[in-house]
Amino acid sequence: MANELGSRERVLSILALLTLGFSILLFRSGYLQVVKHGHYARLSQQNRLRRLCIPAPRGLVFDCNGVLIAQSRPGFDLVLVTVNDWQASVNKAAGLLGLDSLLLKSSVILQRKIFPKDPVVLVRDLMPEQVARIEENIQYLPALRLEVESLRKAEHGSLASHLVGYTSSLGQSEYARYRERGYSYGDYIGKGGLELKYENYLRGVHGWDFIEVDARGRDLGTVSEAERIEPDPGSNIYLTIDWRLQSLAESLFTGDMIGAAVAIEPQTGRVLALVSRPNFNPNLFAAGIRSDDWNRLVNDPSYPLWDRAIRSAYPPGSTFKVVTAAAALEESLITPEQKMKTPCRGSLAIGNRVFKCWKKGGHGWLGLHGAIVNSCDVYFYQLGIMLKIKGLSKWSQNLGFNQETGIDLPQENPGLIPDDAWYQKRLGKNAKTVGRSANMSIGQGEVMATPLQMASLYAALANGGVWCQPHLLLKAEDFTGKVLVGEIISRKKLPLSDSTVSVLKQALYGAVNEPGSTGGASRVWGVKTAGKTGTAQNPHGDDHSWFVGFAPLDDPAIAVAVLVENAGHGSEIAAPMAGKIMQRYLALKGWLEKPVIATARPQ
Amino acid sequence: MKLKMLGSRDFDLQMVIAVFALCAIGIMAIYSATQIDQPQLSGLWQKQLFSLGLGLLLLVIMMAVPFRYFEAFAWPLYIVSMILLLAVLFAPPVMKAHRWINFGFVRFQPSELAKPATIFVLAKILSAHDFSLDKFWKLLVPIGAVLLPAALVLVEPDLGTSLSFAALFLTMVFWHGLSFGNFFFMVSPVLSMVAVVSMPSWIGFMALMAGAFWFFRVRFKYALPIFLSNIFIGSLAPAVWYGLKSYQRKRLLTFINPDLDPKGAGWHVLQSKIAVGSGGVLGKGFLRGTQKKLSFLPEQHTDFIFSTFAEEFGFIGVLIVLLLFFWLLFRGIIIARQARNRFASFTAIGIIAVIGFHVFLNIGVTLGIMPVTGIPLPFLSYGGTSLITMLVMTGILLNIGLRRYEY
Repeated sequence: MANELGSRERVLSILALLTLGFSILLFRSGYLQVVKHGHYARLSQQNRLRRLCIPAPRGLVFDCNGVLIAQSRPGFDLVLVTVNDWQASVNKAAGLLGLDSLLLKSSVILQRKIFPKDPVVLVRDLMPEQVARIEENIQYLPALRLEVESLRKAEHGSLASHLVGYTSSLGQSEYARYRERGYSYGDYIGKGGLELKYENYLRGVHGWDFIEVDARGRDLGTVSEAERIEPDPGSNIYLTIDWRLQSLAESLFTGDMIGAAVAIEPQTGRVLALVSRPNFNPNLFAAGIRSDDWNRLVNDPSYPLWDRAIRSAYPPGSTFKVVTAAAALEESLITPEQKMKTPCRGSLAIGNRVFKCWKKGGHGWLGLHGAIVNSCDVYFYQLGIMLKIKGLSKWSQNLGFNQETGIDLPQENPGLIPDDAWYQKRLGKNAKTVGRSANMSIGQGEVMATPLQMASLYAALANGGVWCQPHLLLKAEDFTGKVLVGEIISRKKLPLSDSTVSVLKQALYGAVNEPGSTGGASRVWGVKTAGKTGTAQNPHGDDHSWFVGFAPLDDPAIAVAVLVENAGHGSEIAAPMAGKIMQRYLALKGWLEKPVIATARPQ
Repeated sequence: MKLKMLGSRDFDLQMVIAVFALCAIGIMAIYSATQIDQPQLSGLWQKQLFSLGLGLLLLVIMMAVPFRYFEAFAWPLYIVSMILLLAVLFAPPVMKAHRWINFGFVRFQPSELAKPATIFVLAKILSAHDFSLDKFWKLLVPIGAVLLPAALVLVEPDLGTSLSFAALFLTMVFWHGLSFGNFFFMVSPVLSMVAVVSMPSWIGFMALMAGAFWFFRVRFKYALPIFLSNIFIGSLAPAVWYGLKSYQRKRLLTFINPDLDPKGAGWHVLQSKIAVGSGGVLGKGFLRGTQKKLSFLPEQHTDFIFSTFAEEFGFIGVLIVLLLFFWLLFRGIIIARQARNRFASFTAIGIIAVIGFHVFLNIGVTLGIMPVTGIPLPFLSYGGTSLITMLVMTGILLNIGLRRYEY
């Protein structure tokens, strides 16, 4: 058959192409291995080529209106770059900076054990005058170099410090864990709050510079064959926080008041403010915290590093009565109008113990509404006895207690709602729990809840029984402006009937506005305010002062929980603070300029 | 296959020796490249030895099967491998790419199976008696047959392997007898896009085109649209490219070619060049390489195996490896030329194209003259699927060689 395949011309062409290709490879190899051998042999001798990290600036943190909360600032480091003859330079530098040269040298030796060839950071974040002193004497410090790095800066100092968190550099043990994820020794990493939670967004990707060094490890300049790789800055995150509200809420904790405040937008679960006092200054951590600062923070009896808003669980006191009421209504143990069996005469005998009402003279016959308005303990003791531990724990669980809200912050405390099993373990198989259930009904005893949980429940009541997961992130945007993740609003209908919700809302409105109520100090002029005070007894000292509420009643824009430790009555301390927070927010949102629809006070 | 055939003149012993030598060098280089302070790598040479054994077994089987079976099974094999290429896109990604299907005990790369399958199908199409290239549109069927696997592999993404399909297609069409002129004008748009990187190279390319029109005596009514479309494509490329922001370019590049790794590629190539260059003429000696201890893992036993070898065995070693590859390919071309069966001849030249392309691209990358593309070096790189595929294709070549006078 006529076979034109593999004709001489085709075979020769392919052979020519093959020969050309292999010749290129061979000549290139010869060029590298013979002509440039000296150059590459020099580079390959150990230490000759070094990859210098160009740190990526960390992403910025903004509030919902674009107010800058956390950014980066330059910091000057004194870095030891050579391997040999370094001691003289370190001694000299120690003298210039007034530091202990032995201490510096031992830290160098320690780090050289791990990374024998890498530059060692002697001193981080020099003060401006220290920088000047080093620069003046740089010719006497041949082994040292000043380098700029990017350090975290909290724009407003200690405001919102728990929420934003802080960064610190990776130590030796942490580095072992994080190197897989592309971290270098000494990298900054979020250590608390949002800096930790959104670390993956905030951190950027390091760039690299390739430099050649001499036998003593000194910089001979960049290697031209490899291009410098620019870093990618970290992504910016935008928070649901309204900075104006946050700073007002923080300012309400005057003096050495200890406590927390949480404000939530009921329809979405957006956290508008999250305060924990006392706070700390995250900027102390920026370049590695000094040991005396650290000791001061961890030995402070008021635990300034602890985020009380989400990590501390307190007895909720009377603010918990809505849970007991909701449970009794949903279990159809009572109707809203029904009076209790026993009227309040200031106390109630249960077994051989006497349980007191906060009002010595007693409240007399009350229905549910009146019991909440007047915060009558005796009424609720009886509800607690009817519900038993089982009913109370079941409904507390249903309404979000004894579990994390799932807010986007690390280390949230789930609080505690004891159930029968818990008591049996604690007190033995046949323990009598009647008294315990009475105590639990008014948010005392073993019941524990975080300020965030309380705010979140009242926000759900305000929102007609639809609970929204509290969250802080509006969006994360990379440096090009591309939105990496948007806001996640997650809603859940609480198992409460509409009538239950409306009875509770009316009662909470009464508890602020009716005569004999305790929450009057939280009233916001011009809108219907609802809420409940709490005065929680605790074994550690004076009562905690609580107020949890929301406004306006019919179209709620904000729900607030305020807790002040050991401050006494909720009506005197927490309620006015909550009132100011709601007032400020409603004013910011323009609510207070609207015509007044309802009078603040009935009757 | 009868045993005495192995003694026949047509059994290409030289090719077998070249392949054996390359495999032995590969095992040695892998052993050397993995004896570093990473204990999980140190046993890889044994795994590679196992793959080598399996591959040799398959090589013998491929030699024994009459090549008519390959022709008969070309389409079913092609369809199966296209299904696997589709399936792999839904498999969990490994290092950001969907290249492997994990069967638990073994990881399999469908793109490797697709190479021989596509070669068989193209060979079948091109060798059909009623197939001719007198009209350009007749190329549409073979183009489609190669575009499908090439596109599926490109979205894995695996640029290097995708380009190897282009290489085998162009070679096989050229082998069919597509005229030099038409061949040139077929690839000219691609050349135009490449040449446009600098003004002199583009002017040079345009001059080359004009020369080609004159040389091949292309009629004006064909030449004008070809010329204009080349200018159009060439001028479009930079307009699109530089219209993008730098991060978009980076994203696009890393999407097409994840091996590019803008944060690491420069370092890899620089380290590879230092390894090769510091090897000098005689090399640093087996196991004496120092560059491999540096951080261009994990590629130093896979895609950058050549630089480890070149460091330890120097220019002499490079010369020997290049000669072995050249000889293997040369013998292959002889077989393709002598094969009387058209299907067999096309298959042989397709296999040569794939092996040659891999060798040139891989070594080109390690020497810093090609952009970083993750493609293994045949017979040398660590990786079971790649080694076995290469040995299978060698088996097919030897098979065709044995039966080169059969129609």
